[in-house]
Amino acid sequence: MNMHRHSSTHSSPEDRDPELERLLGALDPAATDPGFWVGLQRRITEAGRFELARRRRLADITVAGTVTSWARAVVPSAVVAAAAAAVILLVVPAPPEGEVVVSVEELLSAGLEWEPSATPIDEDPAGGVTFATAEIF
Amino acid sequence: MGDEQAFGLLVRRYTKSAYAVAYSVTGRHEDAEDATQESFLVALRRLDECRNPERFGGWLLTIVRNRSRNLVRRESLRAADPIPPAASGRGPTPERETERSQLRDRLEAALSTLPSVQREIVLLHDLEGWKHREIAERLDIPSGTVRSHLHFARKALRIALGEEMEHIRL
Repeated sequence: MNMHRHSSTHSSPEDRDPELERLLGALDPAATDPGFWVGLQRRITEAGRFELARRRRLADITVAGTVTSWARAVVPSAVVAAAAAAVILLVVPAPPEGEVVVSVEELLSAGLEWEPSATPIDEDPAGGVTFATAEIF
Repeated sequence: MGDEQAFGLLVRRYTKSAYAVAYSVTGRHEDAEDATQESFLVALRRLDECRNPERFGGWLLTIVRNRSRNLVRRESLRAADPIPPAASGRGPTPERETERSQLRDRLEAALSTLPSVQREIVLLHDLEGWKHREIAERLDIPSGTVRSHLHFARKALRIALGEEMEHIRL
């Protein structure tokens, strides 16, 4: 009787019972139906296909759901950020490039050396300069 | 490897041992076949519960044992309602008079006298060729306990099958 063994290496010889093994071999369905095991395995794998397909569909739904949930959070945040940036750009004018406007008092208090590059706007008849603009590079 | 191929590999690897355990519980070929098929599908549906792949075999055999017991319970409830012999389709037929059929009957009767754990161990070891250590790992019992169960199971079977054992020696 040709019996399939689970492992190719057996226990030590004294552990086997060849007579009993031969008798129990009669319980092997393949003893009366040689194609039994192949048939049973085929039926099991066929039945398993439906469950495997169901698991694949579930996995696809889960991935799609995750991406969708990310989009739900990311898109509104991006819109809000863009709107905030637009508000900032429109409401707060950017200073002209290379030009810093400072008052005379600030220049004097900062200790910066400067040369008036513009003519006084107004002159006090008493001899003082009341207004001036300057450019600092 | 695709999931179908992987499942096919598991089926080929564990079908016989699952059948042996199912048979040890149900005592009937047809019921063992049903329980085996059912158990693989249950294992597939609940695969996420098996966190350690190395313990898949033991986990599967636990499912086999439970499904087999459920099937036996269902069958015993069904047996309470008389079913016409023609409708059952599973009872012995008059044609079952071959020597092998008689031997199977004797074997089934002898095995039914054993405690379920001894029945399972002797089928896994002497029919499926498992080693003590493998059985111990799958059933989560000490290897020494496996040897002990196997010893007493063989002793009981030899007594029950005395005539058949003599026939083999001759």
